[in-house]
Amino acid sequence: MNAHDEWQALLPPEPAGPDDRAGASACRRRISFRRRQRKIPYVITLNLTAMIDTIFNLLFLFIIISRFGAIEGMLPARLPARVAQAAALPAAELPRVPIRIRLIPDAANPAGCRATIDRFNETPVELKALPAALRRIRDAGVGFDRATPVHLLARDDVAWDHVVNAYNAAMAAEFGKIYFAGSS
Amino acid sequence: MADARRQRGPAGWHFNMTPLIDVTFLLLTYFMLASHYASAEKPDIALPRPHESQAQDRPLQEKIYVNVLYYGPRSEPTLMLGPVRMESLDELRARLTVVGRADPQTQVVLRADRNVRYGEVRQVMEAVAAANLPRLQVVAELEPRP
Repeated sequence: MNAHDEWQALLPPEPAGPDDRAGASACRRRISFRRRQRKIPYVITLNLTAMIDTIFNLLFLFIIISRFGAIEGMLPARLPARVAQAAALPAAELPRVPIRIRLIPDAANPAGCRATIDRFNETPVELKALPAALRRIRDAGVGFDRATPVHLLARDDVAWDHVVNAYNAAMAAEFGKIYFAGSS
Repeated sequence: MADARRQRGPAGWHFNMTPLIDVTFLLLTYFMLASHYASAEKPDIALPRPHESQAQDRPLQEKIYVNVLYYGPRSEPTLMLGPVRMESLDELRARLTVVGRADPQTQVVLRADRNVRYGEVRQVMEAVAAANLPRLQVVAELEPRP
């Protein structure tokens, strides 16, 4: 006996005729039994499709608008000296002797740059050495301090990267008044 | 035997989506927390990279971006005021003058490519100064964290 026959054997017999009450009752039981058999177990399921769609959309959005480059910051700057000095200097304040940094292209390296400091470092130094040179001037006790204006003078063909590097060096040496001056 | 078959339910197969959803949520969280967003005002350019950078990432209230884009030594740099491309330095001067008249305290954020020549950036800075906008911020890369 296979599984189907086993299952059929469990069912009540068919009614013999219209007067067969017992058979009719058995038939109703049979129908009821079949309905129970057809009933699929009720399972609660969440439809996640809409949520997954939204999450993927958000993911694509963030991937597309994200920037993976270096993080940028700001250096507070002063305007070119001939304009800014006149505007920024109070009338009662005497002009101070500035420290002048001159940027010149590196003869040995066309992409490089060196710096001289008027009256102090006439021999060109690398930009990496500039903060230390400026600190020495500031700490030498010869009348220069953090309030001493620093003028950056660069030739027009010097790359902006080197000028910002020199500006950053003056900031690292804790000078507070740094000006982008005209060309050297 | 029949009971066991009924309990098993209808035959079928389906994907287990749980690991996929987990990974997707992790990626989404990563991008939301760790990314810096591109904007039309800040096009992707090679910023100056100073040694021991003193640049700081500070929020500014009223600001306007001036971008100087570099396309090689033989072509003129492209100027942008905010997201708008300027046809010439004169146009930039005119627009900055309008900004300077409206609010002289506006911070000008100068984003120039590191390869642009100083002479070209200096002209832009002079235009900013002439527009009565004394507050200038020069953008550079931040010092990488160890």
